[in-house]
Amino acid sequence: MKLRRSGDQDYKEPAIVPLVNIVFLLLIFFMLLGRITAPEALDVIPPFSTSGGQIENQRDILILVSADGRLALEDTEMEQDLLLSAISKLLEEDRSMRIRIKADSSLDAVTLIRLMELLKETGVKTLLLLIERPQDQW
Amino acid sequence: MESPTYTQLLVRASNSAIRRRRPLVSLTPLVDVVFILLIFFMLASSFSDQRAVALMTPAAGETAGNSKTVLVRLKRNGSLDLNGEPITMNQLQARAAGFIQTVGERQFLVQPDKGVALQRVVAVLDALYATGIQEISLIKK
Repeated sequence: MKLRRSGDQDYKEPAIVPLVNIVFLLLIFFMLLGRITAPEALDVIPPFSTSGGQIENQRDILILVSADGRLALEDTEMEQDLLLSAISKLLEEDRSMRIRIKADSSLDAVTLIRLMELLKETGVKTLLLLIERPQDQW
Repeated sequence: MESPTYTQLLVRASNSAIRRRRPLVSLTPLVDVVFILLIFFMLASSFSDQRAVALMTPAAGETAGNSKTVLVRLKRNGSLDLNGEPITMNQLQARAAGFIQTVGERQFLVQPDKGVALQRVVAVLDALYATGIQEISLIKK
C-alpha cells in the first residue's frame, strides 16, 4: 500500500475559498439587513396585527408592558407612579413627544386601557401600540 | 553575488507556493474572524420592522348619550357582541361595514372584559380597521 506523505506533490488542501465566499456573503447580508438593538428591559412579545403602519424614526418615548403588568420606561423597569411622573417630566421638555407602547400580546387589555387613561391624564396626545406583522416571524 | 531584490524574493516565494500548492497567506485566521463577526451579527441583529397602530381613549363625556357610537364588547369567555347583540368574529367585519353604510360615520368603542388578552382586542381592531373605520377607542367598564 502506498501511503501519502505530507510533502507529496499532489497533496491538495481542502478548498476553503468557496466556504469563505459564502460566509462573507452571509456576513454582508446580516450587516446590511439586520438592525442591532440593545436587549430590552422586559421580555415582551407584541401582538400580531394586519393593520397598522410603519412608524417614522421619530424620537418617541417607549413604554414596555410585560404579560404580568410590569412596566419599563425605555430600558429601566419602574413602578407606575414613577413612570408617570418621569413621562410628565419628559413631556414638559417636548410637548409633541409621542408614546410608543410595546405591550405583550397576552397582557390583560384592561390593564393597558387603564395605563392609557393615566397617560392621557398626564398630557400625552398620541399613543402608538407596537405590533408585529404575522409574516415578520421566521 | 548580488543579493536578490524584494520582488525577486516574492516571485520566488510565490513560485514555490504554486509548486507546493500551498497559499502564500493562510486564510484560516481570516475565516475565524469572519465567522466570529457573522455569529455576532446573526445574534445581535433583529429583522422585525416596527409597526404601530394608533390607540385612542375617548375624552371624558364624549361618548355619553351619543347615538352615533357603536359598542363592541369582548367577553371573557371568548364571545363578542355588537351593540348588545351577540355576533361571531367572522360576522364582525360585515356588520361593522353595514353600520357605516346605514348611518354614516360612526365612532366605534371597543370594551374588553377584564381578563381578555390584548391579542384578541387587536384582532377586533384589525377587523374594524379593515372596513375603513378610523375612529376606534378603547374603553373599560
